[in-house]
Amino acid sequence: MYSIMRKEVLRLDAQLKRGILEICVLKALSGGDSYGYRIIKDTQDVIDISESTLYPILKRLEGGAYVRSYAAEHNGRLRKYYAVTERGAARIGEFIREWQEIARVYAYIQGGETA
Amino acid sequence: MKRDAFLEELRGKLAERLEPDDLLAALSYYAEMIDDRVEEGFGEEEAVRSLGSTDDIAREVLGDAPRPAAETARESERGGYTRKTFVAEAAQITAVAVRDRDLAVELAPSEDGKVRVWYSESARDKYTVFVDANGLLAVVYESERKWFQYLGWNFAGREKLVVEVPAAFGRDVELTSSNAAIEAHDLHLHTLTAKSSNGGLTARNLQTDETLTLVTSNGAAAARNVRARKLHLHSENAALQLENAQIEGAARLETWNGTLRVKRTAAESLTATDKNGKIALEDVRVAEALSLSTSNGSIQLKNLEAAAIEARTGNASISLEDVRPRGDVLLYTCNDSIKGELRADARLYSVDSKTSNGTNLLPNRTEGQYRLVAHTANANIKLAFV
Repeated sequence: MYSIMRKEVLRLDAQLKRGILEICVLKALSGGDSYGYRIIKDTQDVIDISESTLYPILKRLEGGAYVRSYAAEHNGRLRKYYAVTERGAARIGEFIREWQEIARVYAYIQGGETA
Repeated sequence: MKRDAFLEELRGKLAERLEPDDLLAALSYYAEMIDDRVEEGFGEEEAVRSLGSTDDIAREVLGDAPRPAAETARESERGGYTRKTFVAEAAQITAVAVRDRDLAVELAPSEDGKVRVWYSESARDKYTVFVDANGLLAVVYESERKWFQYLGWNFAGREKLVVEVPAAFGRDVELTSSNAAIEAHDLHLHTLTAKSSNGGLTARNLQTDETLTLVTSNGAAAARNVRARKLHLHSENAALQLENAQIEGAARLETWNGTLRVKRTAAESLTATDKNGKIALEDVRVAEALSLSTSNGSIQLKNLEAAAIEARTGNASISLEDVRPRGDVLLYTCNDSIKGELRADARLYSVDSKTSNGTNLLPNRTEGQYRLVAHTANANIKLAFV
Protein backbone atom coordinates (compact mmCIF):
# COMPACT_ATOMS: atom_id res chain seq x y z
CA MET A 1 0.00 0.00 0.00
CA TYR A 2 2.74 2.38 0.98
CA SER A 3 4.70 1.76 -2.20
CA ILE A 4 1.62 2.31 -4.37
CA MET A 5 0.90 5.62 -2.69
CA ARG A 6 4.53 6.61 -2.98
CA LYS A 7 4.47 5.90 -6.71
CA GLU A 8 1.30 7.99 -7.13
CA VAL A 9 2.96 10.89 -5.36
CA LEU A 10 6.04 10.68 -7.56
CA ARG A 11 3.92 10.55 -10.69
CA LEU A 12 1.91 13.53 -9.56
CA ASP A 13 5.12 15.40 -8.80
CA ALA A 14 6.39 14.76 -12.32
CA GLN A 15 3.13 16.01 -13.85
CA LEU A 16 3.05 18.99 -11.53
CA LYS A 17 6.63 19.86 -12.40
CA ARG A 18 5.99 19.48 -16.12
CA GLY A 19 2.99 21.81 -15.87
CA ILE A 20 4.93 24.42 -13.91
CA LEU A 21 7.85 24.33 -16.35
CA GLU A 22 5.48 24.94 -19.25
CA ILE A 23 4.00 28.00 -17.55
CA CYS A 24 7.48 29.33 -16.72
CA VAL A 25 8.44 29.12 -20.39
CA LEU A 26 5.21 30.90 -21.41
CA LYS A 27 5.92 33.58 -18.82
CA ALA A 28 9.47 33.99 -20.12
CA LEU A 29 8.04 34.58 -23.59
CA SER A 30 5.33 36.98 -22.44
CA GLY A 31 7.97 39.71 -22.12
CA GLY A 32 8.87 39.35 -25.81
CA ASP A 33 9.97 36.76 -28.37
CA SER A 34 12.93 34.68 -27.29
CA TYR A 35 15.09 31.67 -28.24
CA GLY A 36 16.12 28.46 -26.50
CA TYR A 37 19.31 29.48 -24.78
CA ARG A 38 17.88 32.78 -23.55
CA ILE A 39 14.75 31.11 -22.16
CA ILE A 40 16.98 28.88 -20.04
CA LYS A 41 19.00 31.87 -18.80
CA ASP A 42 15.91 34.00 -18.13
CA THR A 43 14.26 31.32 -15.99
CA GLN A 44 17.33 29.96 -14.20
CA ASP A 45 16.84 32.16 -11.14
CA VAL A 46 13.45 30.61 -10.38
CA ILE A 47 13.64 27.12 -11.82
CA ASP A 48 16.25 24.82 -13.29
CA ILE A 49 15.43 23.91 -16.88
CA SER A 50 18.10 22.01 -18.79
CA GLU A 51 18.46 22.10 -22.59
CA SER A 52 17.12 18.59 -22.92
CA THR A 53 14.13 19.37 -20.66
CA LEU A 54 13.30 22.52 -22.59
CA TYR A 55 13.18 20.80 -25.98
CA PRO A 56 10.09 18.64 -25.35
CA ILE A 57 8.41 21.52 -23.50
CA LEU A 58 8.77 23.83 -26.49
CA LYS A 59 7.53 21.10 -28.84
CA ARG A 60 4.53 20.45 -26.65
CA LEU A 61 3.69 24.14 -26.35
CA GLU A 62 4.02 24.60 -30.08
CA GLY A 63 1.97 21.46 -30.78
CA GLY A 64 -0.79 22.83 -28.56
CA ALA A 65 -0.62 26.24 -30.26
CA TYR A 66 0.45 27.94 -27.01
CA VAL A 67 3.53 29.27 -28.79
CA ARG A 68 4.54 29.71 -32.42
CA SER A 69 8.04 29.71 -33.81
CA TYR A 70 9.90 31.35 -36.65
CA ALA A 71 13.50 31.37 -37.83
CA ALA A 72 15.44 34.63 -38.06
CA GLU A 73 18.96 35.37 -39.18
CA HIS A 74 21.47 35.99 -36.43
CA ASN A 75 25.24 36.43 -36.99
CA GLY A 76 25.14 34.57 -40.27
CA ARG A 77 23.09 31.64 -39.00
CA LEU A 78 19.41 30.93 -38.45
CA ARG A 79 18.09 31.05 -34.92
CA LYS A 80 14.66 29.73 -33.96
CA TYR A 81 12.56 32.27 -32.08
CA TYR A 82 9.41 31.55 -30.10
CA ALA A 83 6.44 33.85 -29.51
CA VAL A 84 3.58 33.31 -27.08
CA THR A 85 0.15 33.08 -28.72
CA GLU A 86 -3.14 34.41 -27.36
CA ARG A 87 -3.92 30.91 -26.22
CA GLY A 88 -0.58 30.74 -24.40
CA ALA A 89 -1.22 34.04 -22.66
CA ALA A 90 -4.66 32.81 -21.60
CA ARG A 91 -3.08 29.65 -20.21
CA ILE A 92 -0.96 31.71 -17.79
CA GLY A 93 -4.11 33.36 -16.42
CA GLU A 94 -5.79 30.00 -16.15
CA PHE A 95 -2.81 28.61 -14.22
CA ILE A 96 -2.94 31.50 -11.76
CA ARG A 97 -6.67 30.95 -11.16
CA GLU A 98 -6.13 27.22 -10.61
CA TRP A 99 -3.46 27.93 -8.06
CA GLN A 100 -5.62 30.45 -6.25
CA GLU A 101 -8.13 27.63 -5.85
CA ILE A 102 -5.42 25.37 -4.47
CA ALA A 103 -4.23 28.17 -2.20
CA ARG A 104 -7.73 28.42 -0.72
CA VAL A 105 -7.76 24.71 0.01
CA TYR A 106 -4.26 25.00 1.44
CA ALA A 107 -5.32 27.86 3.72
CA TYR A 108 -8.31 25.84 4.88
CA ILE A 109 -6.15 22.82 5.68
CA GLN A 110 -3.55 24.90 7.45
CA GLY A 111 -6.24 26.71 9.43
CA GLY A 112 -7.76 23.36 10.38
CA GLU A 113 -4.47 22.08 11.74
CA THR A 114 -3.66 25.05 13.90
CA ALA A 115 -7.21 25.31 15.25
CA MET B 1 33.91 16.34 -28.25
CA LYS B 2 33.50 18.89 -31.03
CA ARG B 3 30.16 20.26 -32.17
CA ASP B 4 29.84 18.26 -35.41
CA ALA B 5 30.95 14.96 -33.84
CA PHE B 6 28.39 15.47 -31.07
CA LEU B 7 25.60 16.17 -33.54
CA GLU B 8 26.57 13.16 -35.64
CA GLU B 9 26.50 10.93 -32.56
CA LEU B 10 23.09 12.30 -31.59
CA ARG B 11 21.80 11.78 -35.13
CA GLY B 12 22.84 8.12 -34.87
CA LYS B 13 20.72 7.69 -31.75
CA LEU B 14 17.63 9.46 -33.07
CA ALA B 15 17.52 8.71 -36.79
CA GLU B 16 15.73 5.39 -36.59
CA ARG B 17 12.90 6.54 -34.36
CA LEU B 18 12.12 10.01 -35.69
CA GLU B 19 10.54 11.29 -38.85
CA PRO B 20 13.02 13.32 -40.99
CA ASP B 21 11.39 16.64 -40.01
CA ASP B 22 11.51 15.86 -36.30
CA LEU B 23 15.11 14.67 -36.57
CA LEU B 24 16.14 17.89 -38.28
CA ALA B 25 14.28 19.98 -35.65
CA ALA B 26 16.02 18.19 -32.78
CA LEU B 27 19.51 18.45 -34.32
CA SER B 28 19.02 22.15 -35.20
CA TYR B 29 17.91 22.83 -31.65
CA TYR B 30 21.08 21.34 -30.14
CA ALA B 31 23.30 22.93 -32.80
CA GLU B 32 21.79 26.30 -31.92
CA MET B 33 22.38 25.69 -28.20
CA ILE B 34 26.08 25.03 -28.87
CA ASP B 35 26.39 28.04 -31.19
CA ASP B 36 24.73 30.35 -28.66
CA ARG B 37 27.08 29.19 -25.90
CA VAL B 38 30.15 29.57 -28.07
CA GLU B 39 28.97 33.05 -29.02
CA GLU B 40 28.74 33.87 -25.34
CA GLY B 41 32.37 32.89 -24.84
CA PHE B 42 32.35 29.17 -23.99
CA GLY B 43 34.87 26.92 -25.71
CA GLU B 44 33.32 24.59 -28.28
CA GLU B 45 34.04 21.41 -26.30
CA GLU B 46 32.90 23.01 -23.06
CA ALA B 47 29.63 24.04 -24.72
CA VAL B 48 29.12 20.47 -25.94
CA ARG B 49 29.96 19.03 -22.50
CA SER B 50 27.39 21.23 -20.76
CA LEU B 51 24.59 19.60 -22.77
CA GLY B 52 25.15 16.22 -21.12
CA SER B 53 25.41 12.82 -22.79
CA THR B 54 23.79 12.04 -26.12
CA ASP B 55 22.15 9.02 -24.45
CA ASP B 56 20.33 11.25 -21.96
CA ILE B 57 19.34 13.68 -24.67
CA ALA B 58 18.06 10.89 -26.94
CA ARG B 59 15.99 9.54 -24.05
CA GLU B 60 14.38 12.93 -23.43
CA VAL B 61 13.69 13.54 -27.10
CA LEU B 62 12.38 10.03 -27.84
CA GLY B 63 10.52 9.70 -24.56
CA ASP B 64 8.35 12.47 -25.77
CA ALA B 65 8.50 11.65 -29.45
CA PRO B 66 5.23 9.92 -30.34
CA ARG B 67 2.85 12.44 -28.84
CA PRO B 68 3.96 15.85 -30.00
CA ALA B 69 5.07 14.45 -33.35
CA ALA B 70 1.58 13.23 -34.05
CA GLU B 71 -0.61 15.49 -32.01
CA THR B 72 -2.29 18.28 -33.84
CA ALA B 73 -3.52 21.51 -32.36
CA ARG B 74 -6.88 21.60 -30.66
CA GLU B 75 -9.86 20.78 -32.83
CA SER B 76 -12.54 22.30 -30.69
CA GLU B 77 -13.08 23.40 -27.16
CA ARG B 78 -16.24 22.87 -25.18
CA GLY B 79 -16.97 22.91 -21.47
CA GLY B 80 -13.28 23.15 -20.66
CA TYR B 81 -12.58 20.11 -22.84
CA THR B 82 -10.25 20.21 -25.80
CA ARG B 83 -10.72 17.72 -28.60
CA LYS B 84 -7.38 16.25 -29.65
CA THR B 85 -6.15 13.86 -32.31
CA PHE B 86 -3.30 11.40 -32.38
CA VAL B 87 -2.26 10.10 -35.79
CA ALA B 88 0.14 7.29 -36.69
CA GLU B 89 0.97 5.30 -39.80
CA ALA B 90 -0.83 1.95 -39.70
CA ALA B 91 2.43 0.14 -40.58
CA GLN B 92 3.93 1.28 -37.26
CA ILE B 93 1.10 -0.10 -35.14
CA THR B 94 1.03 -3.81 -34.33
CA ALA B 95 -1.80 -3.74 -31.77
CA VAL B 96 -4.18 -1.30 -30.08
CA ALA B 97 -5.19 -1.21 -26.40
CA VAL B 98 -7.65 1.34 -24.98
CA ARG B 99 -8.43 1.77 -21.28
CA ASP B 100 -11.13 4.35 -20.71
CA ARG B 101 -13.56 5.13 -17.91
CA ASP B 102 -17.08 6.55 -17.84
CA LEU B 103 -16.94 7.36 -21.53
CA ALA B 104 -18.18 5.62 -24.66
CA VAL B 105 -15.59 4.20 -27.05
CA GLU B 106 -16.01 3.66 -30.80
CA LEU B 107 -13.68 1.68 -33.06
CA ALA B 108 -14.28 2.64 -36.68
CA PRO B 109 -12.56 2.42 -40.08
CA SER B 110 -10.37 5.36 -41.09
CA GLU B 111 -10.83 6.93 -44.49
CA ASP B 112 -7.15 7.44 -45.26
CA GLY B 113 -5.76 4.16 -43.97
CA LYS B 114 -4.07 5.74 -40.94
CA VAL B 115 -4.51 5.00 -37.26
CA ARG B 116 -6.14 7.89 -35.44
CA VAL B 117 -7.36 8.54 -31.91
CA TRP B 118 -9.83 11.34 -31.10
CA TYR B 119 -10.03 12.21 -27.42
CA SER B 120 -11.17 15.03 -25.11
CA GLU B 121 -8.88 16.42 -22.47
CA SER B 122 -9.42 19.02 -19.81
CA ALA B 123 -7.25 20.36 -17.03
CA ARG B 124 -8.20 17.33 -14.99
CA ASP B 125 -9.03 14.61 -17.51
CA LYS B 126 -6.01 13.42 -19.40
CA TYR B 127 -5.05 10.61 -21.69
CA THR B 128 -1.68 8.99 -22.09
CA VAL B 129 -1.31 8.07 -25.74
CA PHE B 130 1.88 6.29 -26.75
CA VAL B 131 3.36 3.67 -29.02
CA ASP B 132 5.73 1.28 -27.27
CA ALA B 133 8.84 -0.37 -28.73
CA ASN B 134 6.75 -3.31 -29.97
CA GLY B 135 4.32 -1.09 -31.82
CA LEU B 136 1.49 -1.33 -29.29
CA LEU B 137 -0.62 1.82 -29.40
CA ALA B 138 -1.94 2.41 -25.88
CA VAL B 139 -4.61 4.97 -25.01
CA VAL B 140 -5.07 5.24 -21.26
CA TYR B 141 -7.41 7.59 -19.40
CA GLU B 142 -5.80 9.12 -16.34
CA SER B 143 -7.80 11.47 -14.18
CA GLU B 144 -5.82 14.07 -12.36
CA ARG B 145 -8.82 14.88 -10.21
CA LYS B 146 -8.47 14.84 -6.51
CA TRP B 147 -11.46 13.28 -4.80
CA PHE B 148 -13.06 16.65 -4.09
CA GLN B 149 -12.84 17.65 -7.72
CA TYR B 150 -15.43 15.02 -8.62
CA LEU B 151 -18.00 16.92 -6.54
CA GLY B 152 -20.19 19.11 -8.66
CA TRP B 153 -17.77 18.95 -11.56
CA ASN B 154 -19.33 19.10 -14.96
CA PHE B 155 -18.39 16.33 -17.38
CA ALA B 156 -20.40 17.86 -20.23
CA GLY B 157 -18.25 18.34 -23.28
CA ARG B 158 -16.23 15.21 -22.71
CA GLU B 159 -16.92 13.61 -26.05
CA LYS B 160 -16.77 9.95 -27.01
CA LEU B 161 -13.32 8.43 -27.55
CA VAL B 162 -12.95 7.38 -31.18
CA VAL B 163 -10.22 5.11 -32.50
CA GLU B 164 -9.93 4.75 -36.27
CA VAL B 165 -7.89 2.02 -37.93
CA PRO B 166 -7.71 0.93 -41.58
CA ALA B 167 -10.69 -1.22 -42.61
CA ALA B 168 -8.38 -4.23 -43.21
CA PHE B 169 -6.23 -3.58 -40.11
CA GLY B 170 -5.77 -7.29 -39.30
CA ARG B 171 -4.30 -6.64 -35.83
CA ASP B 172 -5.29 -7.31 -32.21
CA VAL B 173 -7.50 -4.68 -30.61
CA GLU B 174 -8.54 -4.54 -26.96
CA LEU B 175 -11.06 -1.94 -25.76
CA THR B 176 -11.99 -1.41 -22.12
CA SER B 177 -14.32 1.21 -20.71
CA SER B 178 -15.97 0.73 -17.37
CA ASN B 179 -19.42 2.26 -17.06
CA ALA B 180 -19.79 3.07 -20.74
CA ALA B 181 -20.70 1.58 -24.09
CA ILE B 182 -18.22 0.21 -26.63
CA GLU B 183 -18.96 -0.14 -30.33
CA ALA B 184 -16.77 -1.61 -33.09
CA HIS B 185 -17.83 -1.72 -36.73
CA ASP B 186 -16.90 -2.20 -40.40
CA LEU B 187 -13.46 -3.71 -39.79
CA HIS B 188 -11.33 -6.76 -40.35
CA LEU B 189 -9.12 -7.48 -37.31
CA HIS B 190 -7.04 -10.32 -35.96
CA THR B 191 -8.86 -10.36 -32.62
CA LEU B 192 -11.25 -7.98 -30.89
CA THR B 193 -11.75 -7.95 -27.14
CA ALA B 194 -14.22 -5.43 -25.70
CA LYS B 195 -14.84 -5.22 -21.97
CA SER B 196 -17.12 -3.04 -19.87
CA SER B 197 -18.79 -3.33 -16.48
CA ASN B 198 -21.94 -1.33 -16.87
CA GLY B 199 -21.97 -0.52 -20.54
CA GLY B 200 -23.40 -2.20 -23.60
CA LEU B 201 -21.13 -3.75 -26.22
CA THR B 202 -21.78 -3.88 -29.95
CA ALA B 203 -19.83 -5.40 -32.84
CA ARG B 204 -21.26 -5.02 -36.33
CA ASN B 205 -20.00 -5.62 -39.88
CA LEU B 206 -16.88 -7.06 -38.37
CA GLN B 207 -14.52 -9.90 -39.19
CA THR B 208 -11.85 -11.39 -36.93
CA ASP B 209 -9.29 -14.03 -37.92
CA GLU B 210 -9.30 -15.29 -34.37
CA THR B 211 -11.61 -14.73 -31.40
CA LEU B 212 -14.24 -12.01 -31.11
CA THR B 213 -14.90 -11.41 -27.40
CA LEU B 214 -17.50 -9.12 -25.81
CA VAL B 215 -17.62 -9.22 -22.00
CA THR B 216 -19.81 -6.99 -19.79
CA SER B 217 -21.65 -7.30 -16.48
CA ASN B 218 -24.67 -5.06 -16.55
CA GLY B 219 -24.93 -4.10 -20.19
CA ALA B 220 -26.21 -5.95 -23.21
CA ALA B 221 -23.84 -7.44 -25.79
CA ALA B 222 -24.69 -7.77 -29.47
CA ALA B 223 -22.81 -8.99 -32.53
CA ARG B 224 -24.42 -8.45 -35.95
CA ASN B 225 -23.05 -9.26 -39.40
CA VAL B 226 -19.89 -10.80 -38.04
CA ARG B 227 -17.43 -13.46 -39.15
CA ALA B 228 -14.99 -14.89 -36.65
CA ARG B 229 -12.98 -17.98 -35.96
CA LYS B 230 -14.38 -18.11 -32.43
CA LEU B 231 -16.91 -16.03 -30.58
CA HIS B 232 -17.51 -15.34 -26.90
CA LEU B 233 -20.36 -13.13 -25.65
CA HIS B 234 -20.77 -12.69 -21.91
CA SER B 235 -23.05 -10.62 -19.71
CA GLU B 236 -24.46 -11.08 -16.25
CA ASN B 237 -27.60 -9.03 -16.06
CA ALA B 238 -28.54 -8.22 -19.61
CA ALA B 239 -29.46 -9.66 -22.98
CA LEU B 240 -27.15 -11.20 -25.57
CA GLN B 241 -27.81 -11.10 -29.29
CA LEU B 242 -26.02 -12.79 -32.16
CA GLU B 243 -27.37 -12.11 -35.63
CA ASN B 244 -26.16 -12.94 -39.12
CA ALA B 245 -22.93 -14.50 -37.92
CA GLN B 246 -20.54 -17.05 -39.35
CA ILE B 247 -18.35 -18.67 -36.73
CA GLU B 248 -15.79 -21.18 -38.02
CA GLY B 249 -15.27 -22.76 -34.61
CA ALA B 250 -17.03 -22.53 -31.28
CA ALA B 251 -19.57 -19.85 -30.39
CA ARG B 252 -20.10 -19.39 -26.65
CA LEU B 253 -22.80 -17.16 -25.14
CA GLU B 254 -23.38 -16.74 -21.41
CA THR B 255 -25.62 -14.50 -19.35
CA TRP B 256 -27.55 -14.87 -16.12
CA ASN B 257 -30.56 -12.65 -16.30
CA GLY B 258 -31.23 -11.66 -19.87
CA THR B 259 -32.75 -13.06 -23.04
CA LEU B 260 -30.36 -14.83 -25.34
CA ARG B 261 -31.16 -14.63 -29.06
CA VAL B 262 -29.34 -16.15 -32.03
CA LYS B 263 -30.57 -15.51 -35.57
CA ARG B 264 -29.33 -16.39 -39.08
CA THR B 265 -26.10 -17.86 -37.78
CA ALA B 266 -23.79 -20.72 -38.69
CA ALA B 267 -21.20 -22.15 -36.29
CA GLU B 268 -19.19 -25.31 -35.81
CA SER B 269 -20.55 -25.62 -32.28
CA LEU B 270 -22.77 -23.37 -30.18
CA THR B 271 -23.10 -23.26 -26.41
CA ALA B 272 -25.60 -20.89 -24.78
CA THR B 273 -25.99 -20.66 -21.03
CA ASP B 274 -28.54 -18.57 -19.16
CA LYS B 275 -30.12 -18.71 -15.72
CA ASN B 276 -33.32 -16.72 -15.66
CA GLY B 277 -33.71 -15.74 -19.27
CA LYS B 278 -35.24 -17.19 -22.39
CA ILE B 279 -33.11 -18.74 -25.15
CA ALA B 280 -34.36 -18.32 -28.74
CA LEU B 281 -32.64 -19.60 -31.89
CA GLU B 282 -33.93 -18.99 -35.40
CA ASP B 283 -32.39 -19.88 -38.79
CA VAL B 284 -29.33 -21.45 -37.21
CA ARG B 285 -26.96 -24.11 -38.54
CA VAL B 286 -24.55 -25.86 -36.20
CA ALA B 287 -22.17 -28.38 -37.77
CA GLU B 288 -21.51 -30.23 -34.52
CA ALA B 289 -22.96 -29.89 -31.03
CA LEU B 290 -25.61 -27.41 -29.94
CA SER B 291 -25.87 -27.11 -26.18
CA LEU B 292 -28.46 -24.85 -24.50
CA SER B 293 -29.08 -24.48 -20.81
CA THR B 294 -31.18 -22.12 -18.66
CA SER B 295 -33.25 -22.50 -15.50
CA ASN B 296 -36.35 -20.40 -15.56
CA GLY B 297 -36.69 -19.39 -19.18
CA SER B 298 -38.16 -21.11 -22.19
CA ILE B 299 -36.11 -22.54 -25.06
CA GLN B 300 -37.43 -21.89 -28.57
CA LEU B 301 -35.84 -23.43 -31.64
CA LYS B 302 -37.01 -22.52 -35.14
CA ASN B 303 -35.52 -23.54 -38.52
CA LEU B 304 -32.51 -25.14 -36.95
CA GLU B 305 -30.02 -27.73 -38.11
CA ALA B 306 -27.48 -29.36 -35.82
CA ALA B 307 -25.57 -32.63 -35.47
CA ALA B 308 -26.50 -33.06 -31.81
CA ILE B 309 -28.93 -31.05 -29.71
CA GLU B 310 -29.06 -30.77 -25.95
CA ALA B 311 -31.54 -28.34 -24.34
CA ARG B 312 -32.09 -28.07 -20.59
CA THR B 313 -34.38 -25.77 -18.59
CA GLY B 314 -36.86 -25.96 -15.73
CA ASN B 315 -40.18 -24.26 -15.06
CA ALA B 316 -40.45 -23.31 -18.72
CA SER B 317 -41.27 -24.89 -22.05
CA ILE B 318 -39.13 -26.24 -24.86
CA SER B 319 -40.58 -25.73 -28.31
CA LEU B 320 -39.26 -26.93 -31.67
CA GLU B 321 -40.30 -25.79 -35.12
CA ASP B 322 -38.61 -27.09 -38.25
CA VAL B 323 -35.70 -28.61 -36.33
CA ARG B 324 -33.41 -30.94 -38.31
CA PRO B 325 -31.11 -33.01 -36.12
CA ARG B 326 -28.40 -35.32 -37.46
CA GLY B 327 -27.67 -37.02 -34.14
CA ASP B 328 -28.85 -37.27 -30.53
CA VAL B 329 -31.59 -34.92 -29.28
CA LEU B 330 -31.79 -34.48 -25.52
CA LEU B 331 -34.59 -32.28 -24.10
CA TYR B 332 -35.03 -31.79 -20.35
CA THR B 333 -37.42 -29.53 -18.38
CA CYS B 334 -39.99 -29.87 -15.63
CA ASN B 335 -43.28 -28.16 -14.84
CA ASP B 336 -43.75 -27.16 -18.46
CA SER B 337 -44.31 -28.71 -21.86
CA ILE B 338 -42.06 -30.07 -24.60
CA LYS B 339 -43.69 -29.56 -27.97
CA GLY B 340 -43.07 -29.33 -31.68
CA GLU B 341 -41.68 -31.29 -34.60
CA LEU B 342 -38.41 -32.98 -35.46
CA ARG B 343 -37.60 -33.29 -39.16
CA ALA B 344 -35.77 -36.62 -39.07
CA ASP B 345 -36.24 -40.27 -39.88
CA ALA B 346 -38.05 -41.74 -36.83
CA ARG B 347 -36.54 -45.17 -37.58
CA LEU B 348 -33.07 -43.88 -36.71
CA TYR B 349 -34.07 -42.91 -33.17
CA SER B 350 -34.55 -44.72 -29.91
CA VAL B 351 -37.05 -42.75 -27.80
CA ASP B 352 -36.98 -42.21 -24.05
CA SER B 353 -39.86 -39.89 -23.19
CA LYS B 354 -41.49 -39.45 -19.82
CA THR B 355 -43.69 -37.10 -17.84
CA SER B 356 -45.89 -37.43 -14.81
CA ASN B 357 -49.28 -35.75 -14.48
CA GLY B 358 -49.32 -34.94 -18.18
CA THR B 359 -50.12 -36.30 -21.61
CA ASN B 360 -47.30 -37.92 -23.55
CA LEU B 361 -47.89 -38.29 -27.28
CA LEU B 362 -44.42 -39.69 -28.00
CA PRO B 363 -44.22 -43.50 -27.90
CA ASN B 364 -41.01 -44.95 -26.50
CA ARG B 365 -38.84 -47.38 -28.46
CA THR B 366 -35.51 -49.01 -27.75
CA GLU B 367 -33.95 -49.50 -31.20
CA GLY B 368 -32.16 -46.74 -33.02
CA GLN B 369 -28.82 -45.33 -34.12
CA TYR B 370 -29.47 -42.04 -32.30
CA ARG B 371 -31.18 -41.14 -29.03
CA LEU B 372 -34.19 -38.89 -28.50
CA VAL B 373 -34.75 -38.04 -24.82
CA ALA B 374 -37.69 -35.85 -23.71
CA HIS B 375 -38.23 -35.53 -19.96
CA THR B 376 -40.58 -33.27 -18.01
CA ALA B 377 -43.00 -33.53 -15.12
CA ASN B 378 -46.45 -32.05 -14.45
CA ALA B 379 -46.73 -31.09 -18.12
CA ASN B 380 -47.43 -32.47 -21.59
CA ILE B 381 -45.09 -33.83 -24.23
CA LYS B 382 -46.38 -33.10 -27.71
CA LEU B 383 -43.43 -33.97 -29.88
CA ALA B 384 -43.50 -35.79 -33.21
CA PHE B 385 -41.26 -36.79 -36.12
CA VAL B 386 -42.33 -35.40 -39.48
